[in-house]
Amino acid sequence: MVGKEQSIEFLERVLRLSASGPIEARLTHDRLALTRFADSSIHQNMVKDNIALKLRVVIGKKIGTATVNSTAMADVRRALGVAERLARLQADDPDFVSLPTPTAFVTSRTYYPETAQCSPARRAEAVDALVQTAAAVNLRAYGSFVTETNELAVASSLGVRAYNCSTTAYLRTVMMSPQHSGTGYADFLSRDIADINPKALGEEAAERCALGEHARELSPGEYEVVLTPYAVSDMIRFLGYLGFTASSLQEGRSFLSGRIGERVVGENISIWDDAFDTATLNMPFDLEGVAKRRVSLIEEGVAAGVVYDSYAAHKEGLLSTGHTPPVRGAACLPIS
Amino acid sequence: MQDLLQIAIREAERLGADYADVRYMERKSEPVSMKNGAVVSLALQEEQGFGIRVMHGGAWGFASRSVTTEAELKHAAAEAVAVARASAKVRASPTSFAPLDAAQGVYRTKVQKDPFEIPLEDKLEFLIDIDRELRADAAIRIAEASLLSLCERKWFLSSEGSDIEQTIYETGASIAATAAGNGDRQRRSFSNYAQAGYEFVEGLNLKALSTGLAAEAKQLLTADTCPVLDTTLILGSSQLALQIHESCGHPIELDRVLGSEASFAGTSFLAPGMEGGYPYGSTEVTVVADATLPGGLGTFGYDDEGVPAQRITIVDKGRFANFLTSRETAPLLGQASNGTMRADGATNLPLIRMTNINLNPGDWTLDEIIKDTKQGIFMESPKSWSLDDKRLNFHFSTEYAYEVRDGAITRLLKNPAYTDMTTHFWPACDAIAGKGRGEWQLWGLPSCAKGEPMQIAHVAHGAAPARFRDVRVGVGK
Repeated sequence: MVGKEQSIEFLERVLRLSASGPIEARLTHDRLALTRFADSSIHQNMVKDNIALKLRVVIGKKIGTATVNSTAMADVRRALGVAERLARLQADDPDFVSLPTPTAFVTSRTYYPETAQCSPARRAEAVDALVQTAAAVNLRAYGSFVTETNELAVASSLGVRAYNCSTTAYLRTVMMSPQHSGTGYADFLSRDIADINPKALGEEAAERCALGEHARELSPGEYEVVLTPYAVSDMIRFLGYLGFTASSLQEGRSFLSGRIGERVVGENISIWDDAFDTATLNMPFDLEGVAKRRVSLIEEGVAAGVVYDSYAAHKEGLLSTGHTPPVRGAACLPIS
Repeated sequence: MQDLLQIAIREAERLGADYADVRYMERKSEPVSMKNGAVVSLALQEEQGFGIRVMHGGAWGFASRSVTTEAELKHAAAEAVAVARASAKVRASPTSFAPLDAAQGVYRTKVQKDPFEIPLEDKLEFLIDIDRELRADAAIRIAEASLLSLCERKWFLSSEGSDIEQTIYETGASIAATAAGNGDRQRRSFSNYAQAGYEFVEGLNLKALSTGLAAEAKQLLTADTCPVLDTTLILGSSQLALQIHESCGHPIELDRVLGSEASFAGTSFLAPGMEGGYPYGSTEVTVVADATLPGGLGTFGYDDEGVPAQRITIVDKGRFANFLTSRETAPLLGQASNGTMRADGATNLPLIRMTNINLNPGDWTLDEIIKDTKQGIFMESPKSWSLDDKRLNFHFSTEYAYEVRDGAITRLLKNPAYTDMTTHFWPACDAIAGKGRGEWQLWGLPSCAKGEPMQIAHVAHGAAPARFRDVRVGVGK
């Protein structure tokens, strides 16, 4: 880990290199460990360690960006020069107001040492538990087990100073009969690896697989459909990409365009984004270092709002809700 | 560089690895994009790093770093060996892979104009011109234009003695016009990418294309909706390229067939043994995987296992002939690898990826196909796609379509879509164009997702318009 003090100190050194105008520096350090398994054997197993620095330089109403995955000061100076040059090349963006100013954020626990320190042997043990569960009912196990440690530090010449370190553990499995006549899916995601119970997940997948063992062909037609939470969450994720973002609303691409305040779905439907809910991937701030806010998207069937990054928010004279996307041009995303 | 990378290989061997390879890569990309006259993205992205893959005790381990120093190389080698040891604990049988002669080679994309030598001012001016063309009509609400320049330098060394250096350049552009009115929104777009210098972008004739796209987007606002019926479908070249990608390219990846992607990207309707002549398509259909084709995004000198690039027949006059394979999977079929292992950067594991998967041109022209069609729909330009995990059942929608009646195009149609099964669709192909000049085109696709963590491969597909009988088109209730 780079750590809070060292990350912020490094970013402050980076900020001091620029005299052109407002500047934002974002440091990410990601360590990902992943064990994939297929046909009840581990077939891919890896550890990946990456550090990256992203610079945004503002000159008037122009923004230049450069990214390097190095913290060597020579590389940083070169990247800064590129970002400044890229900014100068542009015409003014009338919609750009400012980089974000500091916001007070609420912290919650996002880092679990047990997750960060998970060894390849422990991941293999979890996979073995799934494989044994599958074998007990004559199934084969497929899936992946990933543990991640992610450090995010943001500093800007406007005073933003934000650092957070988080961990994620995610186990997913698909179980199949040897003849592939049925499949069963189960997954679990948590900041804390201790929440993951491989055996229970395996039993869930095996049980679902058994349901498909004597499946009958279904003719095309209209049916009442019951979706599992996995399927519903996938649908909500795509709604997030396509409709719950400020840019899609502003450009008229969203199904909510012109309909905020109107009933858009059944009144039994409420959808919200809550980065403070520790049952999800809770985060205190976004990639601009802006404090996360809880956003109501659909409230009892009525379109209630969308999520904003600072650029989209400033266009409407609003404040960012803390939902900056990884790259400019992509839509800001609801993530929780 | 080679001396530094050898440190990792020697360390892995010292720790008992039976095999090790190390890849180092420097990648530079410059995406420039504009939306309604404003720059959305103007950035330089640079990344570097290495990855070491080891075989120990019949199992794989891999570790990668963005920082390349002697200490990190040694540390990563040790970590890869530890990971391999853990892999060996859950394996039914030891992994083996096909022998390979050590290769020493250099590959470099032939470029006339280095895309990074073109002044950014010129690129921006170019995009501003295109934006102006796209937004000439007030009906166009969103105009988008982007350019991409990319350069990768990579080294591959193995404990078997391979030592390979490759430099790859890619360029390309994307433009789109979205029109609004008549209570509707319609989009027309064009994009293409190639392994080439900036001369490729200059040759795309984007300014003229922009005028046409904007007009078409506006016309679609008042077009009739594509009807729902079973009919003859004629696909344009760019839509057929995506169709090939999804229902030929993915199902022939042998790792998918063997279940490696079962919990993520999916499996395949194909199985080992079917490469002996399974009837994939009609006799009109011949598909090749050609990693040697100049200009293709799936072109290279060597794959990321050090296997030389090859041209392989996938479907020969309708009969399925070959999977895409790797050193690990090919021996299961009694074959040597046909060289399709590629990784997204040095810090990810190589996987079996498409190269340039091309449908050979036929002996028709598009004009002849239309004149020969009594009733049908011509569809072109991808809009959305959806496939099941075996790549059997699919649904595509395209940006526009034309109705064909009695051998002539009769009207423009909006919101076209079609659905079918791969095993019905390709046998129903009875005419492929390509006789006409420029009908067979190579389409670069820089966005093929696969693997965990998600990797993006750059691939290409060559195709000419083709006709398919008895396909369900239109969007039902």
